[in-house]
Amino acid sequence: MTKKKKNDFLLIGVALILLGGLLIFSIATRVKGEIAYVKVSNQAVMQISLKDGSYVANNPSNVIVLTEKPEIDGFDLTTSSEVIPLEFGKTIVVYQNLFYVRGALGVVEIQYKENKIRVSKEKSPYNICSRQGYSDVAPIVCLPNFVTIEFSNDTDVIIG
Amino acid sequence: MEMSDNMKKIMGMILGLALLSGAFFKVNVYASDEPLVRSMTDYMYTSITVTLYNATEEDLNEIEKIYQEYTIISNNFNFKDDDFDGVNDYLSNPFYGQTSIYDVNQKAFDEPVVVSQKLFDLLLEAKALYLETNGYFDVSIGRAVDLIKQGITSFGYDDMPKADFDQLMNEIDALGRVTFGEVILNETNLTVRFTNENVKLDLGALAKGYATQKAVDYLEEQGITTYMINAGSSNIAVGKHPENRDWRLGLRHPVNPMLGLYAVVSNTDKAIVTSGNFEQFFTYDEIRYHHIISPKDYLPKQYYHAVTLIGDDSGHLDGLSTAIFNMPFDEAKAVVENLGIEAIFFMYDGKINTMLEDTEVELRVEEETESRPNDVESIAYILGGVVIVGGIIIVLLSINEKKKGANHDKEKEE
Repeated sequence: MTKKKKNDFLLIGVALILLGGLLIFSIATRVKGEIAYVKVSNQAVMQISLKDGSYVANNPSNVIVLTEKPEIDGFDLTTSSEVIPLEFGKTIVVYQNLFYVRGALGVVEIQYKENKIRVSKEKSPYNICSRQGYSDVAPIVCLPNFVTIEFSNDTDVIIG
Repeated sequence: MEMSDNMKKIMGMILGLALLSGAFFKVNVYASDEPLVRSMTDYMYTSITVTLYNATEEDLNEIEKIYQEYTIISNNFNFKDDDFDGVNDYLSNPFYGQTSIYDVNQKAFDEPVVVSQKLFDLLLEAKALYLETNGYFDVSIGRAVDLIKQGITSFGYDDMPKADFDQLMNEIDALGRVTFGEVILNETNLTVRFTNENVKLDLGALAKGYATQKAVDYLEEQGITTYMINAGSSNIAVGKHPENRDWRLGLRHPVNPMLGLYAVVSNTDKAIVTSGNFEQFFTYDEIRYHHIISPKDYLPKQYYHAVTLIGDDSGHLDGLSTAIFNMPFDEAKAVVENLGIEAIFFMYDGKINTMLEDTEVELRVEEETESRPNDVESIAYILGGVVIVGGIIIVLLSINEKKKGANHDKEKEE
């Protein structure tokens, strides 16, 4: 009986060590800071870590990584050697800390810099979303382009 | 026996730990069936996204047709002369050529203008709102709306110089006063007639929500229950959520969008409409002159930064939110109560008043979003450390106990 009790204590102790370890491990390995969710027509196409600018593309996005900075030409991107057409809600083009998605009015350029995100280039009548500048809290809404950047994924849609 | 007991315990603990760990990792749940999504830029002077579940492309086409038709009939621009930055492509709209509000405005003071049943019904809704809100909603003040909007176009988001401001106020003062009472709707002939030459109809505060309600009516007829329609971020209609939960709608901070969301509301099967002073305005003497003007004195009111209404009819709410924006809070409260709708007021002084029934709201306005994540992180580290130390102490104690016990046994044997 006493032996069993002692074993119980041992188990509880081991369990607590495991729990504490897990707690610290999960916090330490978690992507630090917040995440920017890039949405096209309310569907998340990619997530950008505000810690280091790393990204994850969601299905069914297809990702094109460039080694040369592209120029925006309407709905396409051009490099010195090729023209890259972007598919709405599908294609993501990445060059270093710049991300390109197709908006309804043209290509939208998203820039990561020092734990923040901004829309650096876009075509729209009032340029509301590119004038907003860098953000890590406030959603960036490019309404005419159907592109939004949100910093939490707990809402379905943004009003206002 | 002892082994299997321990095994059970270990299994139980592993299960418990697995459950606990779930709380620390964000789990993304995706809907099993992919939605049909259509984004449209050519209608209602805004961007509309329709998201349907368990529906067909044909349903999206039908909804697009609804927006196409209401875009044409509610139009009050001469789109042959005006340039809309190529955003709105009227000429390719299949309803192009139907009698529009522009046509009515051109001729209705001289003679009765015959309109389609749909445009007539839309004007009847405008009249009903005019009567219901005691004149706080009035689509006949198009000339005043034009003047304010010109100011916003020229000085958007900036200070207007005094000379321009004085000139604008003079122009507004010089406008002849009109009311919707001077718009005669003849139900038998489907005609519209103005009895005051200064009437100019502007359906901008109603048409988008009204068309959205027509789209919702279509979905209901088709038995499509799971959907979201987002008309310009200001008119949202939601059915059921594909994950069988409430839709969560984030309300942007109207004073400074950099502050993020000021509230999140949750509900299903509702229309949610917001009127705010933050998308279109100029400032003068530290006051926001926004695009919603009171029919009483042709000036924008400073009672609220944003009014969000939640109810069943998107069109009705669209008109009401504009009317309520022009009302002092006491009158607004009475209207909301009488109509049995729900409301969130972001007052001009920054206070938030809610009148809610089955809609849930999380207010976020006082959160210090900057420091929060770090605090949570350090607390988790400290907690983890304390738990580990506690675990080690218990293990050491129990090992110590075992040794003692063993010694005790030995002593006994001896």
